[in-house]
Amino acid sequence: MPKATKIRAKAKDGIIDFRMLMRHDMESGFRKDENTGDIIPAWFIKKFSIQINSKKVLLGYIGPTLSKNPYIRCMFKGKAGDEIRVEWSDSKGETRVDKDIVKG
Amino acid sequence: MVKTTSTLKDRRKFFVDSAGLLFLASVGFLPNDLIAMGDEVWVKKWFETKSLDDTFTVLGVDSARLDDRVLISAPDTAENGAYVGISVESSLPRVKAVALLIEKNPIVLAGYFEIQQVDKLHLATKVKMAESSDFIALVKSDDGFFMNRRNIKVILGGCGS
Repeated sequence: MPKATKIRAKAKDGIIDFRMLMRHDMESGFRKDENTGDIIPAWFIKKFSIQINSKKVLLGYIGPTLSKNPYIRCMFKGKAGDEIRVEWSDSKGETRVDKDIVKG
Repeated sequence: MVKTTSTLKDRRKFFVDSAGLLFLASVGFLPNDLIAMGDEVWVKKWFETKSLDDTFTVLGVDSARLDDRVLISAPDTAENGAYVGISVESSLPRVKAVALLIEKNPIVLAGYFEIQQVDKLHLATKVKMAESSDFIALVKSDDGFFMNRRNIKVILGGCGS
């Protein structure tokens, strides 16, 4: 079971300052095992979406060169109390859905 | 739902249940949770290109103008290529999407973000960088593609991590 996404969302003057940390190793597929020298196969989040009040506001298609535990910060129009829903799916088909409320 | 001695009542109940389910689905209660991501497809060939020109081609970009209204914040020198914080801001109107590209990475495209409900674009994230390279932010708006670039020196390459 993938770990929960950390979400921090705060609204001020009609703008939501949205930050999140998706917990994932983001294995690049270029790294070698220290003992055997074998290449560790790629395993990474492929896509994620952010919804505010059930409306999709950001859709990300990402590759394995985003850093480990991908961090995203973005500004959206919105207000305190708006509902946030984040979901991602990775190259092995694992998914994770997290929800939060925008704080004032 | 397959019963050998299914009575009329049972079948009727099944019908009513499925109708209820369909109703819930149509108003967006039930499967919305399940299919929200299903309709968009991660495009493999976007993440296979090794040069900037090829990446622009697979993304469907004919030409992108260098424009100062695409503002990149990034360190001049990054100690650790495994975590390079970058941020893209833009005052361009009606931004639809942003692509983050690193010219000398084994995979040029780091991410492609379709975006809505923003006043002014402001997106920040962290990327891996294999070596010192130009970072390119490509912004798609109603008026076409705009980009800006910035060189980032990397002391310790990060694609091996």
